[in-house]
Amino acid sequence: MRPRPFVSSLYRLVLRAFPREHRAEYAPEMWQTFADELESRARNRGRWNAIRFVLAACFDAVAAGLGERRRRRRSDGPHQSVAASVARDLLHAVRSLAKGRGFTFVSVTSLGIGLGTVFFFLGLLRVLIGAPPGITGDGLVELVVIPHGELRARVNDWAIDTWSYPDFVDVRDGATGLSIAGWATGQSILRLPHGAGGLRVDTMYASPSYFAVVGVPLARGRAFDAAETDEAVVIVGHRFWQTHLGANPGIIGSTLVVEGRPHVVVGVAAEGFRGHFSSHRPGFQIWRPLTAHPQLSGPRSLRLDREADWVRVLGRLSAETSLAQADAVVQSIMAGIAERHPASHRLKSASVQRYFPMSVRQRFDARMQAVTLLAAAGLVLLVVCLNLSGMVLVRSATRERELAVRLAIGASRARLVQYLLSEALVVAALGGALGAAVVFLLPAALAWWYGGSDSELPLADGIVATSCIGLCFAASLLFGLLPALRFSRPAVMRALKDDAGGGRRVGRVHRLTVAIQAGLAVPFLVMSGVQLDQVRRSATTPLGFDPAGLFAVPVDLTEVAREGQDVAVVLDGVAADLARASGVSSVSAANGLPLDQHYRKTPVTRDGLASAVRAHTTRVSPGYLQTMGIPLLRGRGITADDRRGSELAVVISESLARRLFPEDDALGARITFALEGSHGSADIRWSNLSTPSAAQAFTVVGISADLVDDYLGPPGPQLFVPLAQHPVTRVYVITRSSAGIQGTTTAFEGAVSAFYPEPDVIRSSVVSGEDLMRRGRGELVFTSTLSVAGACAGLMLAALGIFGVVGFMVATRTREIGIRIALGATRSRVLGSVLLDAVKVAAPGVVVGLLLAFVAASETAWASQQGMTPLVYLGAVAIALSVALVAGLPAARRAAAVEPIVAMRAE
Amino acid sequence: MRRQSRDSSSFIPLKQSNYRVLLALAAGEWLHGYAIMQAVSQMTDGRDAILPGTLYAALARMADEGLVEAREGPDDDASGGPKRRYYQLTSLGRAVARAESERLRALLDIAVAHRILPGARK
Repeated sequence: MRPRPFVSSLYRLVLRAFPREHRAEYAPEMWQTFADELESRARNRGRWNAIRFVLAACFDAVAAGLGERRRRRRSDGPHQSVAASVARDLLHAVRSLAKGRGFTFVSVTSLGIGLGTVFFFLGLLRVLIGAPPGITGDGLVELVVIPHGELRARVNDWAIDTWSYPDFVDVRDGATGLSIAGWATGQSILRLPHGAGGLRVDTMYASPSYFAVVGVPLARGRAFDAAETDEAVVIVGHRFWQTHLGANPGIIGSTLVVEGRPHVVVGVAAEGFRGHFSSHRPGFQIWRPLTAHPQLSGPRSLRLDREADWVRVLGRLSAETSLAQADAVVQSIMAGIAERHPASHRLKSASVQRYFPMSVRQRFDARMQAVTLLAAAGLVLLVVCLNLSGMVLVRSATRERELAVRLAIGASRARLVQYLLSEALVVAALGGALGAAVVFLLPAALAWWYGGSDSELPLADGIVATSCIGLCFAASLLFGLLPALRFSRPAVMRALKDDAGGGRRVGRVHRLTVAIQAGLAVPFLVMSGVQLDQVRRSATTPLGFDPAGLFAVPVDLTEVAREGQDVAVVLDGVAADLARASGVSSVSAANGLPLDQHYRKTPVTRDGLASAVRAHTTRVSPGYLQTMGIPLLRGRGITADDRRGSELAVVISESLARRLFPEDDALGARITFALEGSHGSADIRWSNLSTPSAAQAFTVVGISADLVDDYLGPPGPQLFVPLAQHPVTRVYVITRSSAGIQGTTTAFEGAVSAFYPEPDVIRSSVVSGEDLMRRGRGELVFTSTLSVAGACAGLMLAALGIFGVVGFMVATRTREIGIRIALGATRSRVLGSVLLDAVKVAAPGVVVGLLLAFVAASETAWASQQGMTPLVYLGAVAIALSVALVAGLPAARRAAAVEPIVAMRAE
Repeated sequence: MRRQSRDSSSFIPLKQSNYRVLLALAAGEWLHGYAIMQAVSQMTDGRDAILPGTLYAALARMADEGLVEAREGPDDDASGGPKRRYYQLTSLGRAVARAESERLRALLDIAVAHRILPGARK
């Protein structure tokens, strides 16, 4: 039996593992021997033995072939080891890059930008959705409430991650196979020892089992004791212990004054532990027992209230329990609760979900963001690599002769590819180092320069670092391989004859990339133009309120409300105290300030209006408009008559009135909206309760001028509702005063010290109108800088791309250009035609980019920028095309300087 | 083909595959590749086999080093198929095979002395 054709082909294929010379000498014999043995085995020992022989012979041929290749390489001379040749190529690449400084600078910078962006995205992903250090997600779960029907529509989410306290206790005590911890957030005012003053600290209120459930043991001391009846105990964060408590080794057992009461420090959290969720959220400085939470004390304690959801619940599965089992148990407990309390729990079920560092409620969104980020990173990398590949093509095209010489004196193609790739590798390593330095070291360097503490964000860790190094290699292959393959087989004779070539065409891929980059740069340019204009206008146009002489201090009235007092009455007393201070002309209170970066928008509608208008909501006490310096255009402001029980009143701003009532008079009309976190007028709850209430109807009693909302921008629609009708416990007491910051702070200290366990915290809490402006401008300048940087990066990448593509066109058309000059074309004409090519490369992208910008503008808030938009669009196009011209200039000048005699020498 | 005048001891220890090929050629005949394969198999009653890849890598190496020599076979080869090449041991190859055998015999003596093998020798 002769081998079947496919067996024969297979063996011939594996014989390619042997070096070419060996194949030339021995392959026919080897095949013959193989065939003889196969025939003999098939005949004497059966088909299976023959098949085994074929497989064994194939493996044997590959192994022996590779060994033979190694042996031949060694016998070719001692200097020919792979490592040595790679090292020599790398050294040569470094030298040749050092000579071509322009190319090196441009390529390293552009790769630095690209890889830096990618590294930043990777780091961001790590921060956003990576588990914080020390947390092992195995067996860690989060318990959530699943809303149904009408509740689901109201919550507008698939899960609610907060539980009422009694529900939490039922689940905690009932769930077997699961250890459960509840937690809630808050702030505490803490007095530092040795007279170092007081400060406000972020606090986690947690069950005794919290640290065990999360799986991060304390660095010192012990966790809270379940049997501890006294709640005056505290665990401090490691960093807080080091920075504020002097890393006192005797901290355990010492006392700290928290909220005016001495608390015993029982533990120090593990180093780096700031809470169990992803690192982008601010961490906690201290932990207090969940039972010490303000919600659970006083006459309005929520200890038995099943309607207020505020405890979040984590669990850890025991070794014998699966997620599905735990889910079933928790579901049945919740079903039991729903049976006993149908009114509040009819539309609720429960579920156990695997731990996600950003809260499971955000899991889907976070994953989508992650995918988007990764896709964006990949796109940036691809674009940069294609650009660089274009530039390397130009460089290789000008070195074709050198490569031909190498080939002519015996270099193999693989050797040339290795040589060309080593240059790409050096560029990738330098670019990667630059990008990594900017992304990972710059924040720390800036923090050091400005004397701040370094960021705690673990932007880089082992995984990110490894991915970065891997990406550098991938990038070098990506942008080096195409030119390396293309130029490792130059037409030796033609290149050596100094024929300048012709007929090579720039690939479509490269032209398309350049167009895409130019296109991407245009929306960025438009966006940065709009934002720069906003910065300019924010400095000149009125904000809608008067920041000069405006001062505010935050006040937490939770204690007051818990004792059963009326918040509005207490605030009236504070206002009366303040009004007596010298220089104070007006006093009011509100749950927010303009430019406080606190999002409070809600959709507003009225009968007969199909679509809702989003407006910024503020709950205010009487005299707010006057204190803020907001002009009242018609009607009245919020007064003392707008109290609990009276008709629900609202003051709306001019633009909202115009949009809700384009033809009718808004004054006296009824509008409908829902306020966040308010469960009707009688309810005073912790202000971070965020289940939205049902929409209510309000009567418009006044129309004010527009003003800026939470961020600096054009003045927009506003809603002002009476604080007395919609009370919250965290408010700002606001004054307009001519007494300056010192005088006003003293006045505040006199009036609100009763609400501050540590009065010296008041001084650092006072906010002035100028502070708000500064913060607002800072934020705007920051976002504009980002957008300008984005536009510049996009433009620079586009410019590099055009430089590469046009440069390559010129390098490969030298002869044609020479002929044109010889035939009488003037140099300026050649210059013009090459520049026109550059514009042609960028133009399609610019057009598409312009369309993109139009679409983006109509979909987002930029649409409100009227008057200047056409100018911004024109400017963006002009900048993009100018950059194309500048990028094409070096190549155009090279083309115009071609000497016809040199170009045609070969003929 | 490159011939090198090297001392036989400089080849020791030999790779197993090379040693087997040398033993298969030790009878002094001219054998082609397939015959060598069969000879190796027969020497060990089919326990050991050498596959074509290893065999020809070994032959190429040993031809380079002067341990075997090759010649073209006759046009009317009795074995059929394309023209084959025949291989024979050189004197250097024989010396190397002897040196390797002595090395292995010394090792066997040690094994006997340590009663790993019964002392049947001598």
